[in-house]
Amino acid sequence: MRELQRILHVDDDEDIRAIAAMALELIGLFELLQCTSGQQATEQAASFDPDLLLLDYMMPDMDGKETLRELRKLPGLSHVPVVFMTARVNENLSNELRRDGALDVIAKPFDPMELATELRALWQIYNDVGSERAMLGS
Amino acid sequence: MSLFRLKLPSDLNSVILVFGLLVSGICVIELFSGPTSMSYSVLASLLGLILLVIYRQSRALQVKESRIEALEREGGALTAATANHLKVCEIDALGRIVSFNQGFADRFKYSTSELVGKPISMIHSGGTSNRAYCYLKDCLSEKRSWAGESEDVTADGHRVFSHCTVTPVLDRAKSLVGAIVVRTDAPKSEETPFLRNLFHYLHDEIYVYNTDSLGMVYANVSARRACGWSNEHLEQKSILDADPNMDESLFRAHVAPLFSGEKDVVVTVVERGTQFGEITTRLAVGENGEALFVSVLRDATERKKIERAKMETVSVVSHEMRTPLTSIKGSLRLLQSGILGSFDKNAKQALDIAVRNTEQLLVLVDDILDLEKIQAGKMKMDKAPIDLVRLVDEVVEMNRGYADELRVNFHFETNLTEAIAYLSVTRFTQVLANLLSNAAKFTSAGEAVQVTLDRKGGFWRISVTDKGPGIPEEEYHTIFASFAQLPSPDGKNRKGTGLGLAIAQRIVHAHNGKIDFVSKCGEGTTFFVDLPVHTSPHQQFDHTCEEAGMLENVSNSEKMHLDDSKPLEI
Repeated sequence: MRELQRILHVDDDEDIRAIAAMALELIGLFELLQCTSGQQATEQAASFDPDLLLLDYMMPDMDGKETLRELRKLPGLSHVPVVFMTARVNENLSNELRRDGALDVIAKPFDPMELATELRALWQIYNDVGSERAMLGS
Repeated sequence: MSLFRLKLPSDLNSVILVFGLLVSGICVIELFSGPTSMSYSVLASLLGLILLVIYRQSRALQVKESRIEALEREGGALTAATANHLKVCEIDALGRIVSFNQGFADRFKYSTSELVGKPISMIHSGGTSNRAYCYLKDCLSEKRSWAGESEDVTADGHRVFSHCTVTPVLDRAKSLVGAIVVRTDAPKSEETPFLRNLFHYLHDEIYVYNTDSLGMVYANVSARRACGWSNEHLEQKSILDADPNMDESLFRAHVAPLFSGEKDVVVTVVERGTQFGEITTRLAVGENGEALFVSVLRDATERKKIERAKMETVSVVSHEMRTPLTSIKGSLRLLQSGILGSFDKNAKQALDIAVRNTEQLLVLVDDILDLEKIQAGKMKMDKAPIDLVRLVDEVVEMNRGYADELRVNFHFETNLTEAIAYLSVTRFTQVLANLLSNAAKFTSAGEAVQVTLDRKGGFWRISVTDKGPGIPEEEYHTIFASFAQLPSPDGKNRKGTGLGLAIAQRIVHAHNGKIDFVSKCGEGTTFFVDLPVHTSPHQQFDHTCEEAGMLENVSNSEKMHLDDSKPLEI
């Protein structure tokens, strides 16, 4: 299984981006690309070639779902796993996002000391499920 | 002398009889002894006595006559007075007016020729369909009397209200000859039509119906319009006809607390298309002593809109607060971890205070969101049969860390090996965690919080007992209120949002359970939760908090600390 290395993080809030940067770069030691909007993400994502997308759900102009829809259209990003972050703690929304293919939904405020561990665990699950599917397919 | 000891006769006939007997007695004596001067003198004395008696009797008769005259005078006044106050008429067996007094004529403003021989229904508002007239007719056919309120109409078309008494007149063969109908102004003669009119044209819908048959007794204009009923056929209707989706057994369950004395009034909210109506039902006593339900349906659409807007505002604000809180909490956590550098003792203490208060703010935001979710009916509860023995044990273990921080021990014990209840694990964990954290906060370091699980009839009872300062009696009624802080008789400050128990209560209600407490100042408090024993796999209640929030019964104005109100099964 390949290690989780590159994460594309999209959030319109500058402070939250700063916290996430410390959590993911300093603690998680990931390679991180941060974007302030869905629009910026669609422009930069393809060249970054992320392993995982970490998208804020509530954003002006393009929300998390729209951003994902646009990112999926890009070459190489159609199957990249996605994790949403949201301050709108809502079981219905979380279920809806999971149904739409999200690996998980992380509630804000998140614990920066735990974020990297959490994403690695989700990456592990994603790969395990992928392996099972591959085995079933074979 | 013996005559004076006799009781004097009371009327003239008796006087004549005594006189006759005396004369006869003297004649008999004269016959056997022959007349003597002595017997003459005795005879004279006797005659004198007789005259005296006659005089006394005639005086008595005079007094009687003068009293009768006085009574006749008074009787005339009485007749005049009743003629003004009582409206009396005599009707025959067919309900036609035979005679009437002056009060009756004055009241209805008819002449004799206009009344005599005419049907009594002519003075009843609405004629033969008048409610009082129908009672009158029924009572005559059953040869029994009736008393009640009558809505009448005068010759010039004015509606008047009277208290009406109908007494049937029977002949010797017990056949109906007719009836005497007496009307008086009801004690609230001025208020009754006024209030009746007020109710009649009130925008709120008013339904009055029998508690046994649920048959309608009264419905105001708004109610009749909403149900498409006519006044004429109202008494053929039942409250169940007001809503085709109404289930009688559910309705009976809804109003049961009124009969048990548990509630003065029960409230429910109904949806009519895009409209909301709040129905308040209470018991009343009818004019004949019968038990009635009075339901008032008030349009709650505007109120619901405002509540929804308020809820959305609070929800938005709470969500908006979460974003800056994410940054604050994240920064503090990073600083606290030491990854960004170390701090001296004072800086670390300041940082700990900031972390603690940020956590507090977050709990408050979460509680507000939870409460709003419950009130909006948006808190879904995925219920399943769950073993409480395991669940309580797990929640106790989960919260042990918090207790350790306060140097308090949690001690759970039960004799049960299994206790199945139908519940939402997430929500019930929230309830238990709240009770445990409260108990830990109010228990002194080194002491233990006792948690027990046992069975009480058809319920599982989970009790959480602390050895805290207890709750003063005057605070009992505030314990489950929103933003109520558990009182601290010992003066210590124990932080909380004041929403935890309010949320817990609503969650427990949504599980058909109850939550309550017993407390003794200086000794401690036991909070307990009763949950129905889950016996059948088919026993599934799909209660959401929408039901708990919207249909929550309004309890007696002075709510007792014993919170025994149950959610409605509607």
